[in-house]
Amino acid sequence: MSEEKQKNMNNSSIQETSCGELIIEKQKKETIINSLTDGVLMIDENQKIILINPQAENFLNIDGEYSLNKTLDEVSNFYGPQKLHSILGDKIDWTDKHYEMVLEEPLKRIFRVHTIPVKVKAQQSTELMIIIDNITREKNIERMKTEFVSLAAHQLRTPLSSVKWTLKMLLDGDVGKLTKDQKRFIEEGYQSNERMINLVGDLLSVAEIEEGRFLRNMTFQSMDKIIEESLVALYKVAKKNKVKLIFNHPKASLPSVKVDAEKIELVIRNIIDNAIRYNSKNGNVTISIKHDKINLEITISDTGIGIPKDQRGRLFNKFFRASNAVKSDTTGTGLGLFICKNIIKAHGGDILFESEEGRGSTFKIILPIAK
Amino acid sequence: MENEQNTNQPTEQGSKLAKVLVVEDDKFLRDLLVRKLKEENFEIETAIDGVEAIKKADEWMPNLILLDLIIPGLDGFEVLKQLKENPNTNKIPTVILSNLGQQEEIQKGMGLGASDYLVKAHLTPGEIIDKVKGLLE
Repeated sequence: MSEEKQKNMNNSSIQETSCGELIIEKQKKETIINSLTDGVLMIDENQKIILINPQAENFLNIDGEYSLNKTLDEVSNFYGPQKLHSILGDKIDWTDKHYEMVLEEPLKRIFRVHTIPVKVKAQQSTELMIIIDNITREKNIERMKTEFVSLAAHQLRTPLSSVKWTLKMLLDGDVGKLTKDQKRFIEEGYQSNERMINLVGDLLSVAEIEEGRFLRNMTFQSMDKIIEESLVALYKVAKKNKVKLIFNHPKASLPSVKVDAEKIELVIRNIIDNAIRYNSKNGNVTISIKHDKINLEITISDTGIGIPKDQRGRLFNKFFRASNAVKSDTTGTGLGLFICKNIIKAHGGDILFESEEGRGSTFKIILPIAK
Repeated sequence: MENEQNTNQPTEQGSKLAKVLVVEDDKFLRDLLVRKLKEENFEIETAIDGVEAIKKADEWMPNLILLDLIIPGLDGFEVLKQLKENPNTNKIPTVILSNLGQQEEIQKGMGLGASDYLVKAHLTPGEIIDKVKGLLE
């Protein structure tokens, strides 16, 4: 064998191998695409369908073989492709976009459609990948959850209201005078019922957070006003716990923040309420506000039991309560700080804290200043 | 039954009694509210469902309506909508008193023209009456 011939043979065998590898690679990719639970379509630069996986055939209810090398428009005599074409705006847009598609036939299903432009380097062209994801189940669960929350609110709160109103009217002497002992007993019952009402309220807030639709009424607010109102509401609890509330009014007027006032008040109240509840007798709660050009920072410091070092990482978890907090107050739900953190995060802010066990905690609520 | 009791109400202050229509399907809650309102010398009518609420509002012309949302027949939102569409009743302050309390529901109620939105479980009867008095002043 001449050297030349030998060289040629080597070359061709290299080509054969790489060709074989390419085919195997291609088959692999096809197998992957075909076994995806999402529907996938590829459209080439001439807007022709060059790939359609079985799941997409199934979702759109069309024959893959038939639709290959046709445009979406050309197969839009079928219901599925026609719907897809129409939600894409009856055109092929080479951009990364999300759409929602509802197919009524053969039975009602909801899909998320994602278009992704794919650059094909070798051909210097752009293809469009269309991914179709069946989200019918998610949507149904979301709807059921909302309905459940409303129903649960109503069903749980109605008997709680009856108990609350009855006990309150008994306590107020509306049905005759009570002895001191009777009053004390009923007062206990009333407080237990209040705890249950708070728990239901917290659970509903959590459900709302988890649905991801929490902030509604965004308005420009002055934080010192919100804090003042919270302090008025908490005055009684502070007095009962023998805790002094100190508000260091800002000297200059504060820049306003754009917030859901009701939710922010909930946060402020919750954190001050914690500072009162987990304080020591004759302790203080000090509230102050400062700001720079970007953020407003509300600091709430207490002289209370503090948070054990090893439990700080879990403080904002749902249902978590620190061991010393459980001991000093049995009534908390473990949902307050979880709700607070979520509300502040949704406003683009954050809650931070520092603490020393036995000495007290300082919580910082940071909110972006409205522009 | 309520009418009968109404005639027994004292009118010693000489001022006209304010008329409050209580729309509530839960008998126990309704009785508690009516009892408390009567102690405060209000004249009371009650309705158990939406259709009855609209009819009584139109005929009896109360000074204020306390309206529950989940009631048989037409729900409270629909009742409120119809009350506000009727020129005869659209000026009557209507307070939603419900146990639904998601922001969506509150906004819907206020958007339909409710004067206030109260969550039953969060208020005592005394506090509800204070709100009623505040609105009637």
